[in-house]
Order: sequence, then structure tokens, then C-alpha cells
Amino acid sequence: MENRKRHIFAFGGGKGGIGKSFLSANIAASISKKGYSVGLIDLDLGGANQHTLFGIDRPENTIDDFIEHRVEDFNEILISIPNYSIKVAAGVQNDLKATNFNVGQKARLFSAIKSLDFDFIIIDIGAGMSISTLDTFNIASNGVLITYPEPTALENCYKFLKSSFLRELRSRVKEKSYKELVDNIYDGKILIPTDVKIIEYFTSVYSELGDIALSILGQHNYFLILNNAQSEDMELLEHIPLAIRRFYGFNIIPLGGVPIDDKVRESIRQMRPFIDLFPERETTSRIEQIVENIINISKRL
Amino acid sequence: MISLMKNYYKILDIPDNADSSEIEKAYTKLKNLITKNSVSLYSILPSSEKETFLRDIEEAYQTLKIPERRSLYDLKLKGLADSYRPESADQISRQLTFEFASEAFTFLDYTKKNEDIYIDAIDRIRSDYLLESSGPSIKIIEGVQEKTEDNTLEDIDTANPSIQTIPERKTDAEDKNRVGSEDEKGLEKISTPQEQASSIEAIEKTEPVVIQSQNTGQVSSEVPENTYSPQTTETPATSIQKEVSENECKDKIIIDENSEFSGSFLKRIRESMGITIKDIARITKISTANITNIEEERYSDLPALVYVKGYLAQIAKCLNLRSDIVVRSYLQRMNESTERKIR
Repeated sequence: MENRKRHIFAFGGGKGGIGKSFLSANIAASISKKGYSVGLIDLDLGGANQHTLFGIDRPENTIDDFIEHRVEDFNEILISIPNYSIKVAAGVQNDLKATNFNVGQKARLFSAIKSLDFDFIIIDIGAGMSISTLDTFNIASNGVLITYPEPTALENCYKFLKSSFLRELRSRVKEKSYKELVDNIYDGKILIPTDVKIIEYFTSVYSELGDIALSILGQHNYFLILNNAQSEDMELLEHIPLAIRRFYGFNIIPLGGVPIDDKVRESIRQMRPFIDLFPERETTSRIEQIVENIINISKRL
Repeated sequence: MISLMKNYYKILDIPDNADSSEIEKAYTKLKNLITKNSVSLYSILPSSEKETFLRDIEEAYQTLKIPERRSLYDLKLKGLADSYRPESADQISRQLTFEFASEAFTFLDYTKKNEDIYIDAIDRIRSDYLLESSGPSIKIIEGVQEKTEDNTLEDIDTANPSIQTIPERKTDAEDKNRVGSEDEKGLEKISTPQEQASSIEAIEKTEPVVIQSQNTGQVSSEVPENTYSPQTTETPATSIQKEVSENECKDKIIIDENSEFSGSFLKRIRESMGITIKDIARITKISTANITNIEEERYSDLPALVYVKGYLAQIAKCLNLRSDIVVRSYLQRMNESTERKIR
């Protein structure tokens, strides 16, 4: 426990059904098998099922109980997964209530998550781009974007990245004119020309705003996982970061690609991590490769 | 910094000091990205903009990969980059007018027209700039003038209408002001309203033009007949015609890339050429007061920075100096002095 650094990774990507939950569960399992402790936080508001992926059908307590003060200590809602050094915070079950937290609830939840004692904290955030989703993505200093090699998924992924960044910027600026500018970009009332990087745009309008934007980028690492990728899609692992760097000005580190595998469904049905059910499959070795990258990068952070 | 000059380094997303292999690599990667029609660009780069983007990276690569072109480009880029942060929309639009005018062409425009002319132009600009004027022979032309034969830049001018050695041209405001340039007789009668505050001169190739005063009515009232004298084409620099003989020039002035173009240095150059402040005022339509202010470095008496930039560029042209270098050097000095005052 001496001076352990917590590495918080949030898994997002805007689009639903692109394997965020599946990948975060299996990555958590793989990290735990390497001897690290993992806290898996299910913040997929309205679609929480991490517990199910690990074979727990009815969690005793959920994040909802913490939010509603039925449980005061976040540690009490954590469920230990047998055979793994993983504890899961099961997601909110009450869909109607869940979609947006108020500011106080959010602050309490986020500070509880940040003070959890694990080597790795993995947050599975939901689909969509609601304020809560974006804020959740931003509490992690490591944001993992998951996408499919398809235009629709990529469009959402880019928009998600941009929105979460703008949301973070908005929350950090105090001056009214800055807030207005960020809002207008967020709402699409101001379009940043394609050939101007987002960061440069802010710098050119208000240098102070540019500085804040840069400091946000300095505090966040962005990663990319390409799911459902066939071998010819793998070049996207180079192209997507290049495009984001050139047109947005963000650095994205590709973690790897995971191929399509019809056994995925089977593992979900059996409610057990894929990497343990099918250790010989390419999908497993790809996930392990990604985990190796995550661990190596975390050592350097 | 608002600038219409393309930043090739930004286009290729490389640092200013990138070496040739970095340039090559960045270019190849970006070109691949676009030409492979990668799905990764979806919603980032609209397909309608792909062609423009391809053209831009091609242009950037063609300029940066050749060291000669690159160093010339760097000089031009820096000349613009050193200036200031605009504070208002009005200021931006005025600056755009100025910069559009002075940067309306790219080096690729040269190359597209004629590679040889381009190389000549570089040589010429180089020798102009590195001019060691022990006894400068300056041609000062009065009124109508024919083309000088050894002037390569003029050839380029004819080859490419977008190239002019005058920084200000072809703006909307100007078009409105260019009254009846085709009507030669009418010229004499037109009195120029001096309402236009921006430093603009109307230039029309092969046609007589009205050259309008740019700031105050003061100058044109001093020399009214000159204000409307029809001219063939050229720039203020070549429209002075007076041979200055070598012995008229007493001091030996060395101008090289390290020269600091202070007000007094500009004055020395001017005097060594036998050009008076009134000469410059007549040609450029800058008021004598402002020319004096520039030479005496009375910064607080000078108008807004955009005008000063324009003035400097024109004075430089009159003195046969590289205007971008003069502007940059002078403004740098000016900035330093104002900064010192603030401290």
C-alpha cells in the first residue's frame, strides 16, 4: 500500500453497443490477473450491467444507494468478485432516476471514486453525451475512446471527445465571455474551421482560454481502442490518432484493436470474462496486449 | 495571429525547425490519410474539403522540401508573425486588408507560372536585401515611366497579376475608390476625397490610375499635380527617377540581414540616396509629419500599428529595401522600447 498511485481509466466513446462494458470488464479481469487490484465502477447510467458480466445477478447495494445516502461509505457498495482482485460498484438500477445527477450528488460520488484504494480504477461510462456522462469521463485522467471501424461510431467518437473536452473547459473558466464562447461552440453556433485546431482557435481568440485548454490537455491522456476490427481496419489505429491530432490538436495513444469474435456472445451468456473462457482466441490475446500497453503506460505516468 | 498567409508548418503539423525527414514523413502520412479515403476522416474533414487539404499539404511540401524556398518562406512568415494581437473586429478587418494585399500570392504561384522566373526572383530579392550600397544608384522616376529592363520582378508582375511590389492593393474599399481609371481625361478633374483612412493605393496595370492619398489631405495639397499624374504601372520604389551619382553619397552604408532598421538608420539610407522626406511623402502619400515621426522614432505620435506597418513597407520600397525585413526590424525595436517603458 505504500505510496500507491491510483490510475483511473474511463471507457467511453459516445455510441452505444460498441463493447464498452464488455471491454472494460475483460480488461479489468486481465489487469487483475497480472496481480493488480482493480475497482470497476459501473457508471453506465441507465444501462448498468457490469455485475452481470461477472455473474452477479442481483447486487445487494448499488451506486444508487450511495447517491441516495442509504449507504454513506462507497466501499460498502463494492462487491468482491471471486477469483479476481476486482471489486465492482454496481450501476444504478432505477433507470428513471439515474440519467442525471445533481451537482452535489456528482461531487460526492466523484470524490468517493477518486479516493478508492486500488491500483487501477476502471470506469465504464454509458453511451450518449449527456452532461453526467461527459463529466464522468472527465474525472478520469485517462480517457479511453472505444469505437468501431464505422463512420457512425467514429462520428460519435469524435463528437464525444470534443464535447467532453469543451465540457471540461467550460467548467474551468470563470469569465462570462469565455463561457459564452465555449457554449456557442458546444451548441454549434460557432463553427471552428476545419483547418484550425480547437486549441489554436481558443488561443487565437483569448490567450488565457488557450492556456486553460492546454492545461486540460496536459492533465488528460487519451487512448483509443478499435473494437470489432478486422485486419484491414488496423491501419485506423494509426489514421484516427493522426486525424485527431491534425484537426483537433489532441494526442491520442492507440492501445490496440480487438477483432470480431462470435464467442463474445457466449461469454456474456455464461456471465464469465471472455479472456478466461476462451484463452486461446485472438480476441483474448489482443485484449492482453492492450492491458500490457495500459500497464506499461501507467508505469510511466 | 490573424494572417492570410498559409502556415505550411501547421498544415503539415510539424515544428518550425523540422528537418527534411520529418517533413517527408509528415507529408507522406497526411497524404496517405487523405488519399486512402480513410473512414477515420468521417465527420472530421468533409469530403468537399479534402481536395483543398490535399492541395495545401502538397504546396507546403513543395515549398519546405527545398531549402532555398524554405528559407525564403521562413523570412516571409516571420515578417508577419512578429506583430500584434488584434483587439477589435475593425482592427482585424483593417489588418486583413493589409495582409491580404501584401500576401496575396504564395511562392507556389511563382512556380506554377514559371520556375525560372521564380528562381530569378529569389536571387533578385536576395541581392536587394543583401545590397551593399557603397554608392547606391537609385532610379527616381517622375510621372509616366516605362519598364526597366533588368527588373525581373516586373516580369513576374506581368506574368502573375497577383504579384505587386506594393503591399496594398485590390481591396473592396479600393475598388470603390478607384474612380474612373479608364477615363483618362476625367482624371484631371477628379479631386480625391481623403475620407479613406486606410493606406490604399490604386494600381491598375497598363491603365492610368488615380493614386489616392492615404491619411490626411495635407500631402496632396502640397503637391496636387502629382497626385493625379497618370502612371503606367509601377510601384513607388520605381516611380522615383533620379540618378544619384556615386560621389553624392558620402557614407558607406552596409545593409545585411543583421541590420537593425531603426528610424535613424532609415534616415541615413534615405539621405545617402539623396531622397528627401518630401520625395517620400509625395510618392507614398504619407504625411511628412509621420515620416519624420518614424525616422525620429516618436512612437507615441504614430498612428495605429496597421498604418505604421503600411508606412514602413512603403518607405522601404522607396528606399529599395526589403519591406518585410524593415517592417519586422522596426516594429521589433518599437515593441522593445514600449515594453521597457511599461516596466
